[in-house]
Amino acid sequence: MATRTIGEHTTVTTTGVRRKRFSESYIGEWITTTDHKQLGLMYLITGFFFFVVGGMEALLIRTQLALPDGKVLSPQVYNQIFTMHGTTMIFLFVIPVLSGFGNYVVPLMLGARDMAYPRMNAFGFWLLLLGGIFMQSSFLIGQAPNGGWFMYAPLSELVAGHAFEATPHMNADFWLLGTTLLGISSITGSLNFVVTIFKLRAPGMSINRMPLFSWMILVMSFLLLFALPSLTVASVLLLLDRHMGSHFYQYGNGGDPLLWQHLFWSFGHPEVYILILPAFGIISEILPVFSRKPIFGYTFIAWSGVAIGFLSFTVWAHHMFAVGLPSIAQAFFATSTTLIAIPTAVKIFNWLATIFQGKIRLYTPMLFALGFIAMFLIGGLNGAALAVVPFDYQITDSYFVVAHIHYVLFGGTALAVFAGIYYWFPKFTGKLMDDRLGKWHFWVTFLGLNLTFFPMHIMGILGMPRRVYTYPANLGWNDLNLMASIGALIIGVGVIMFMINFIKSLKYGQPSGDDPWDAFTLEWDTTSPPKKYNFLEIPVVRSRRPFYDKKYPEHADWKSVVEH
Amino acid sequence: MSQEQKDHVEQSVQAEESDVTAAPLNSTPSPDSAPVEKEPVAAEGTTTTEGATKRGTTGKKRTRARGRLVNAEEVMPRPSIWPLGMAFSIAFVLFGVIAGPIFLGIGVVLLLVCCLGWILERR
Amino acid sequence: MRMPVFPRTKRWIALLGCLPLFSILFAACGENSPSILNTAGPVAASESGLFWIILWISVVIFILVEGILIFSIARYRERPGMPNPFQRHGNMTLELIWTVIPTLVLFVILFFTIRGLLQVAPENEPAPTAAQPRIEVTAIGHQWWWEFHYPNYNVTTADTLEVPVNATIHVNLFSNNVIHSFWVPALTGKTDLVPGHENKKWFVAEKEGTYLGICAEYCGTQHANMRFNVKVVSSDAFKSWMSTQQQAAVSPTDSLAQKGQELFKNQCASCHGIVGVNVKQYYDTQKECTDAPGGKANGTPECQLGPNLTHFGSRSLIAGGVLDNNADKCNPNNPNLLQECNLAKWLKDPQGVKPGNDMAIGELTNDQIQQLVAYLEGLK
Repeated sequence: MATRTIGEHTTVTTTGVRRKRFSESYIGEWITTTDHKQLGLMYLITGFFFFVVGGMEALLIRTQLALPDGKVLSPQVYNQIFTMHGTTMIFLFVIPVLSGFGNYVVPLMLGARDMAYPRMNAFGFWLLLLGGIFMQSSFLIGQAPNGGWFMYAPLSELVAGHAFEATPHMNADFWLLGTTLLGISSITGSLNFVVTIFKLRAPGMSINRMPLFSWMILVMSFLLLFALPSLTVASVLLLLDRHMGSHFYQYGNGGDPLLWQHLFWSFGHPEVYILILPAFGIISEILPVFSRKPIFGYTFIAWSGVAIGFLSFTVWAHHMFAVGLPSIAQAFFATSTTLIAIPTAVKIFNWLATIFQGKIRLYTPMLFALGFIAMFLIGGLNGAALAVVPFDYQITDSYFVVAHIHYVLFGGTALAVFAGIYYWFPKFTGKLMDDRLGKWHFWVTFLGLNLTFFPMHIMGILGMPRRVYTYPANLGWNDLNLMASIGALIIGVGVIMFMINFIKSLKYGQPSGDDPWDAFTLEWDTTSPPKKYNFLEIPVVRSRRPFYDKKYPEHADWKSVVEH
Repeated sequence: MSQEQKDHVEQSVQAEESDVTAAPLNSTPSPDSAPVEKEPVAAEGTTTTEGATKRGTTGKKRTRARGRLVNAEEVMPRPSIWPLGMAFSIAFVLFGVIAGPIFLGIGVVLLLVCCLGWILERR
Repeated sequence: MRMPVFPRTKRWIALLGCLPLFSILFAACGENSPSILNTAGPVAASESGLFWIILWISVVIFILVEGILIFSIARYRERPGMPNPFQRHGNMTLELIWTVIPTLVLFVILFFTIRGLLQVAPENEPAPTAAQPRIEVTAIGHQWWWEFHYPNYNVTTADTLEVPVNATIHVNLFSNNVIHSFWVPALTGKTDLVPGHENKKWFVAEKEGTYLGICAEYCGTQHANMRFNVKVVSSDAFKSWMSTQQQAAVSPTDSLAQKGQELFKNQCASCHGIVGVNVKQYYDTQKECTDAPGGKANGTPECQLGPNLTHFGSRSLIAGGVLDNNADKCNPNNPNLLQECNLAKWLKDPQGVKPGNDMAIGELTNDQIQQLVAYLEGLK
């Protein structure tokens, strides 16, 4: 308290009139804020900005590949673009947007006034923004990262083996430093989530009564905390190789290129679940509200998330079936990969049971959530196919894998993100998004994504390798590629519709009131948008659906349900 | 678990309130003279913060006695420029790793300044 | 407040409209594609055979789940006057059922996985017999072309891997630069060429023909143009091909080709070798060009940067498969040589044909190109 007393003096100017603080000016308010809601919005806006950047990179890729022997991009530029597309979408779109939702919604869901460490929260956001700008700025000097988002050594070394030049310029450095910055950002964010979730829950909200979105954010945070060090270590070793003359990844001096792959994928696979688990959480919030039922099998959904989290650390080498691991190791990783499919299947069945016999209101958020289930199922099935090692020898590093990741990350996470935006937009702004335009957005996106990504399965089966800047005309891949490019354009149209809807609704949106969806969880038990302090009175929780209990006391969950 | 939660909330509120009582002794401007967007929680309608309804600590009573209400802004974290400064300096340090020792040096200095600023800032 | 309920529209019409689109997809499967389903050997057949098993299991699950999803949406969509549903929180029996059933299905798949894995594993390579001999080949990945060395015959070639039918081809995978991946969709799945790792694989080709091979691991600027052909021939044809390859290059007889040879010695010999012209014999890159002790530096005769061209005229691809070696168009007297002959195009502008590659030949006059084409295409 002493600091406070001393500090109070400093706000008094010599004239005795209180000067307007910097943090009260318009710009100052944004750049000094420590409010979790404002930071959450900033995360979301930043993430969406980079989504547009990454989307443009994707459109360039598809333009180049629309026709065989494409000449739109040079191979050097193409390689930078596809690298930055992957990097941007994963590190600068999905993670920030999901952290944005987490930041905004989790404290509200838990009945807290803010995150546990507000200034660290702001710090994480600024690191993310600077890291993103830092990475994208590499285009300005024409040396964007070009080693793929996986940045395999020794291709990312200055010199590959035997004095062959690999990446002599700064391309890889931008990537390595950028991801290190983003890594610090994610670590601070995750710590903050963990402490917030463990320490700041409202009275009565046991871990077992937490909304599932908070559960998934918790699991995601632990995954980030344990997975990111591996990436940071890998990056630092590579930086040392590049600038200090060490040889961690160079076989000629006793290093090993596979070290990078093991380190990278032991980050990279948990990362995949980092990208999808909060999406599961969003879906698990939206489905019950729009089906007018509680989530089916809360415990199973929560603990299958935890199971996925644990198992995700044991499956990394399924990205490396083709590197020549011993058969016994491949069998092990095939088994663990098979196991991780089980909790995922359990989740899908629970979601189906949630909407089954419900009263389904097909508003836009629900539409996106249902679209998520439909598309994520495809991503799960072709993912299971990839775990079949001998078949994987044939299709790994082919377009089949591209189809798989996009069904999971676009058909899965991106649809869930849109669902979340439509769902929580009234919370953010007090206005509804246009439902009609939203539905158009959904159907256009749905059509576009299937048109883009479904043909990629067939391309992969027809032998088209991924990461190629062009392909010859005589191999039967032309029609499929053209189709995928048209689909990408359609997705682009969908995104434009979304932006129009967003801006229009921000200005002219129909007022939503505090609780437009008749929702169940605490974030709706306050004004929309919430005041800085979130709740006048911290609510007391007696079940998993506290707001439902409050609105329908005669049917309150705590009267009928025994929760363990 | 839930009992711990309750304690935590109460403690933090208690700390804030004893602050409020201490404030006039140090001749700081009272919340009443603060800009309008400062919203006293009680003015919102219902009651005061959760702490007030459940406990009757001496600190609370004294604020009540003076007609002072618990101010939302005092419960909430304050804005700060240092997170941005810190993020910028870390970015600068990492940039300095590849750009050369001069940038690295500037970055380290910036980082130290921001660390100090962050630590010494009033909360 | 409540949102207004929008009237239901016939959206399924739009969905049906998408169906023809998807049928086009299947019709579009090209004839010439290096499809993994057009197998020509037991390894690929074993790998792709699994595809059908997974496909059918997936189709069943897909129809089941999407069916329940669509049924629920259609059946339980909110209608006016619909009562609130029963608030069911879960059901332990159901949970157990849908945990156990997927587990069983997945373990069936896992059984096939591990069985298939062992079938194609390097340790399971068939022992050589009279009917099925074993041919050893070293595949060497360069940026961005393939070199093939036959250690038992001491022969090196590039871009085309020629093997006899019904023999076990044992492939040693070697790279001294970055990681590449050896993939012949019709014959075998991928195995990476990791510097410092002695990976190997095997395959058997049961049908004669030419199969496309592809580098499947991202290896830099020209990763897209790093293909090769696997030419499967009868065992007699293989023997005669091999005895030709073992000989030094023929000396050119006509004056044009002789000039070409001189030009080669002056312009190309620092990166390319021709046995009998500027190198004495083929060298085994895996032994000579390692970073291990005793490895030679780049640019020494043992370790040249470009492919060995001793029997260039007998190959079917140029420069990592970026162009076909269309020898029939490359008669030096062809007036449209520069337009029609791929080798001439390549010599004219290697950086235009394959940007970023290491070929640094400098500007050649049309006459010089004609001479080089005459010489190189004559190296059968």
